[in-house]
Amino acid sequence: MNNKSLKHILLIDDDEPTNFYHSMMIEESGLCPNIYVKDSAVEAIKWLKDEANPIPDLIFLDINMPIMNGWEFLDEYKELPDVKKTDIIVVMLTTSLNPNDMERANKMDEISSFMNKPLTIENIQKVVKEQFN
Amino acid sequence: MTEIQSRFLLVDDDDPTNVFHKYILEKAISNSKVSVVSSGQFALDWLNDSKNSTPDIIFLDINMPLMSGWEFLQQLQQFQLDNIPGQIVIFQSHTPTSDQMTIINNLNAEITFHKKPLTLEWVTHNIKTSN
Repeated sequence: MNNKSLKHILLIDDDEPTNFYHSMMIEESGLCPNIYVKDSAVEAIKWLKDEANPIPDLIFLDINMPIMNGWEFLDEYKELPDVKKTDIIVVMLTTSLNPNDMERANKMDEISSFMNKPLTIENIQKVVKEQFN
Repeated sequence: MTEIQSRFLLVDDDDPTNVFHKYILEKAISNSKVSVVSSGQFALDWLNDSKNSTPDIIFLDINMPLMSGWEFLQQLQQFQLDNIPGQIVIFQSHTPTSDQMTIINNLNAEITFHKKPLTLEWVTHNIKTSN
């Protein structure tokens, strides 16, 4: 358990209904005041590199996206300066808990956990309880 | 003058899609009543229930477990429910097969094919409501 509070969440998913639903669930949970939504990994990397934007405390990352998928996003993400990402918790999301994806996710330091889509309020509470103060 | 309500039935097993589509329809069409069911069987039950008035339009997902959208349409036709709406929007991006065309032709409803998800623009331009 660390000492962080949760102020900024970044959602990365190409599916608009999913982003809409996840934003709604986070709002309903009352656990985080600021939610940012990017509908592609390319946009998300650009957003993270921009000094004008806050550094998110938590990222929910979809795996299956066109052009740049979740794994490719993580390759780019690793290249970001440490100051940007040391405190960011990354949770990977998928529609089915594919054992190969889970194994791959477990091997990566950048990924804190792996969850099924869609997010539920219970799952958001679980992440917050495990990773935040 | 009494205002006529537009009634929609959403049939989809995906929660986020249902929540989003309900939001889009309510935003685009004032005085709309959107009902949601999560399977083809629940949709049949809903249409069979005399408490529910016939929807103007059904928005139908195709890829659902247990009963696909096409199986639902076959059942709809076989049971000759009174509650068949005048228009059905089918979420399928490829052209229908000949078997699917047969199902459509046997239904006394206007069929529209569209890709998911619904957008505000598409609904505003393509969904004609009674009011």
